[in-house]
Amino acid sequence: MLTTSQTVDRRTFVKRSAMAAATAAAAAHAGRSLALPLLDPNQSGASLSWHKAPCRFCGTGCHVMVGTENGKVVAIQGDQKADVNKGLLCVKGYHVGLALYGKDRLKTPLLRKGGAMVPIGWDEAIDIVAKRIQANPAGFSFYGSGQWTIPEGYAANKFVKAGLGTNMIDANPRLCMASAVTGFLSTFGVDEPPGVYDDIDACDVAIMWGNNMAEMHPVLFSRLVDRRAQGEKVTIIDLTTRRTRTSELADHVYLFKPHGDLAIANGIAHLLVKEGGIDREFVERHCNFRQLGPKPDEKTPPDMLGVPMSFEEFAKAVEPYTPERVEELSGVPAAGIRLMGELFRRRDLRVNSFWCMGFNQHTRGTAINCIVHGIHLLSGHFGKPGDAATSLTGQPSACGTAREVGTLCHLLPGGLAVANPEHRKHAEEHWNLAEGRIAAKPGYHAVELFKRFNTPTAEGGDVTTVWVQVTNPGQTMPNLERNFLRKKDLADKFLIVSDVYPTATIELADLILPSAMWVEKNGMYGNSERRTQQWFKLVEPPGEARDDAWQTIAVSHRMVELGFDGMKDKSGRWLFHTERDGKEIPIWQWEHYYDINVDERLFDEYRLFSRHKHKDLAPYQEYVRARGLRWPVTQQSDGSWRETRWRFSEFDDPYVGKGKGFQFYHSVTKDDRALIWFRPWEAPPEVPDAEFPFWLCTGRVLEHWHTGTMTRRIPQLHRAMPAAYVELHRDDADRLGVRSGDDVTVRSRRGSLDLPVVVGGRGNPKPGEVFVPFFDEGKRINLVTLDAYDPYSKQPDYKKCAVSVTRKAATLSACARRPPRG
Amino acid sequence: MVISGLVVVLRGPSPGEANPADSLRTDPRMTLGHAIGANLPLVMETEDARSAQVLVDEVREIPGVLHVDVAFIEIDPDDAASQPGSAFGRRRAGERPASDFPSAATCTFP
Ligand code: SF4
Repeated sequence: MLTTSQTVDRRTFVKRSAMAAATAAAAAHAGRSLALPLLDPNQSGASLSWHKAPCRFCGTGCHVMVGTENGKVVAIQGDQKADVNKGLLCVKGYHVGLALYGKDRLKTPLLRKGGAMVPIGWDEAIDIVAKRIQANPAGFSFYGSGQWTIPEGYAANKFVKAGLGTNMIDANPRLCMASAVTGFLSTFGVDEPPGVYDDIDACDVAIMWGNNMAEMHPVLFSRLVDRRAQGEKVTIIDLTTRRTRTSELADHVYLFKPHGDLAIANGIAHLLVKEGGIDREFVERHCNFRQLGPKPDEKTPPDMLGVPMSFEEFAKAVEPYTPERVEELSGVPAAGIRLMGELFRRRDLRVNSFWCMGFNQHTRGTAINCIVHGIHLLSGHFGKPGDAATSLTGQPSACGTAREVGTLCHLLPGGLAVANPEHRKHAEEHWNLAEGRIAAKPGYHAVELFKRFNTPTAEGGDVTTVWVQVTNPGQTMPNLERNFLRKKDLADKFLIVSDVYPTATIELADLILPSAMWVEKNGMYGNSERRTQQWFKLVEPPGEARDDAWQTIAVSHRMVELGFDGMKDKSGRWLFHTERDGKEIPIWQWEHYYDINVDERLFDEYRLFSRHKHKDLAPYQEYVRARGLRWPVTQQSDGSWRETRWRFSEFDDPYVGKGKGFQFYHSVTKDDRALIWFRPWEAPPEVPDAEFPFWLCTGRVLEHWHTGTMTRRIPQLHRAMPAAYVELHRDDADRLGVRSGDDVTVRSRRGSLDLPVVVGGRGNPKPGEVFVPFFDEGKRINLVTLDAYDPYSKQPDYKKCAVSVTRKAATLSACARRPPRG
Repeated sequence: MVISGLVVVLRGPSPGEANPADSLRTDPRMTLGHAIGANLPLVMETEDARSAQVLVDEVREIPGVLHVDVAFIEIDPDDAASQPGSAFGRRRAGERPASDFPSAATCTFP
C-alpha cells in the first residue's frame, strides 16, 4: 500500500498513485489483488479501517473495500473476496469514494420562494410534502431509480401502492431496462436473466449485440480479455453501429444500420432452420412457438402474450431472412450472418450473447430481446455454463430495486403485477390492507408521467406533484423541452427533488431535500446477475442531509398525524410501524432512525414477497455475511442458505423437478415451456431524410456514470472527460468542412444543441451517423432526442433519430481560412 | 503534464519477436512496474493529453501487446494545456471548451 505520511512533491505522489493503481489493476487481471492508494495524500493511514460495499455506479455490481478514517472515506480498493470483480475495478470504481466529497453537496432543505431557494427546516419540508400529497393523492407521482436501495424502493412502493391506493410510481429503469423485462416476461413468463457472470468465464463465443462492454461494463470485459491473455480461445463478435473500444478487441466487427439488429437475429434463426441448427430435442421438450396476433384497432398494439404458431409456421416466417436479404436490411455482409449462424449451429461451442441499452432503448426493444432469447433456445445454447443470453443493466440496482421490488407503475413487489387480482390479493394480505385497497389500474409510465406533469392541469395534465428521488429526469427525459422544461411555466405544478448535488432536475425544483448517499447510509443493491448485496453506513452525511427512505417514512407518518388514514393498515396500524420488544421505535424522527436497522426491518418484510415468483431472498443477516447472493436463495436442510446460478436448469435450480432437465416454471403457456417468438423486422419510426440526413445515437462514456452528477465532481474523471462532443465520421466531417474541435449544431425536429466535433476518437460512427454522450448537463442531448417508445415496455429509443449537422458560423470562418484537407 | 497509469496486457513474444517490455523500458516517458503474469503495470508521463493518446496508440501497436487498460489518469491542474480532452480520447489539447462545472443549475443558493 502506498503510505503518504512522508512528504513528497505532487508529481512524485501522483506517479506513485498511478503506479499503485496500475499494479493493483494488473494484479486483479491476474487474479491477485493489492491495496489501492489513499485518496487523500495528507492522511496518515494509521487508523484506517476497511469495510465492504458494492460500487455506487454501474450494474456490474463490483464490490469495493472502503477505507475510512476519522469519519471520512479515504481509500478504495477492489474487493478480492468478491466473485464479481475479484479485486478489479474500473476507473470510475477506483474513484468512487470521491463522489461523496464534491464541494457543492446539498446540505439543507431548500424551498423556492419568489424565484430564490430559501433554506427551511426538515419539519417544515416534511410538512409541505405531506400536505401537498394529501391535498390530491391521485395527482401525486413518485419517480425513483435503479439507484434507490432496495429498502428505499420498497418504502416508496408501499407508500404509493398501499398508502395512497394508487400506482403512481415509476422509476428510471423504464428508460434503461424495461424492454429487457418485457423480453424475459414474454419468453420465460418471469423477469431477469437465467444465467450469471460465470457464463463469461465459460463461453467460447461472446457476441456483443450493440453492447460496448469494454467501456460500459469494463470489469466484465476484463474477465473475457483475461481469458485470452491466459491463452484461452474466446471469439468476440462486436455487432455495433459505431466502432468502440470493444471493437478493438473483437475478432469480428460487424457495423450494422440502426434498427438492423432485428434483421440480423432473424437471419440467424433462418440459418438455424435451413441448415440443421435446431436442437430438436430441446425445442420439442421445452419450447412453444409464438407470434403477435392481430391489432385490436389502429392505435392499440397486439396483445404482448401473442398467439401460438407451429414450428412450420415459424420456419415460413423466417424464410425471407436470407443472409443476402439481411445484408440489405442491416448492412452486415451475408458472410458475417453465415458465420454467426454457423457458431450458433455448433454444439461443441458455448455461445453467450450480451446486450444492454442498444437493445433496450429501442422502439422494438421487446421484439429484439425476444428474438435473441429465441435463437439461443432454438439452437440449445441455453442453461449450461457459457451458453446464455445475458442482458446487462446500467444502474447498480435496476434489477434489485426497480424490477424485484417493483417500483414501476404496473408492478408489486416480488414480480407481482397490479393488474392481476390474485397478486393484488396476495399483496393486500401481506400488507394487512383492506380488500380492494390496491388499485388494479397501472399508473403512468415515465414518459407519460412527465408529459402530464408538463401539461397544464386544465388540458389534462393530471399529474400535479412529482417527488423525484435519486435520479435526474431534467437531463434524461427524451425530448426535454416537451417532457421536462415546460413545467417552469406551470404555476400549479410542484416538483420535489431529493438529491445529493444540484442537478439539471433541481433547476426546476420547488422543494429540494438533501440526501445521504452510498456509504453515508445503510443500503442494499441487486446487480445484473440477480445478486443481492448489502452494506452498512460508514460515515455521516454532510450537514442536514438524510436518507431517502427516512424522508419517505417521515412524510408517511406526517400524513397519519394530519389524519390521512390511508397510511394505516386495516388494523389501524401505521404502514411503517416498527417495534422492538413490544415498544414502538419512532423511526419517523431522524434522531431515532438509526435506533434500529430500518433496512433490515424493511427487507425482511419485503423478502416474503419474493417467494411467489421463485425469486427467494434470504434473511437480511445472510447478506451481511456474504459478498452478495444470487436468487433464488433457498434454505438447506442444515439451515444454511444456498444461492442459484443457473435458473431453470435441473443441475442447479432447486425449483426444477427431478428428471426434467429444464423447467420454465413460470411459463406463459403454463406448460413449463419457454416461448420462441417470431417478430419481424420493421422500419424505425423516424429515419433520416433530406432535411435531417444523419442518424443520431446517444450513450455513455467510460469516465462518467450516466448524467455525470457524481463523476463530474471527481476531479480526475472530470479532467479526463470534461464535456460532451459529437463524433463524426471523417468523410462527413470533410463534407461539412469541419475537423476535431470545431463547433457544429446538431438539430432535430425537437431541438438543437451546439457541440464540438471529434473525428477519429475512441468511438467511430459510420458515414451518415453521429454519436453524442449524455453525461454533460451543460450540453443536454435529450433536447434533441425522440420520445417514441416501445409499445410494450414503454421504453424510449435514445439510440436513433434523424438530425442535421451544420457548421457554426464562427467555425465557418475558421474553416474558410484553413486549407482543405489533403 | 499528464501522468497515466496503464496496464499493458502482453501476449508474450512470438519466435523472433523482441520482448515488448524491452522496447517499453527504453522509452524515457515510461516507468515500468513489476509484471504480474501477462500484465505489466506502467506509468507514462507526457507533455499533454494529445501526446498521451499518441503514445498509448504506439504502445498498442507494439508486437506482442494484446491490450492496454487505463487504471489511472491524473492531469496537473496547473497545466492549462492539458485540461480539455481525455488522454485517451484522441482530442487535442485546447481544441474544445469545458462545459460549466459544477452544475449549471439556475436556482439561487444561499
Ligand atoms: S463502475 Fe461498474 S465496472 Fe466500474 S467498478 Fe463500479 S461496478 Fe465495477
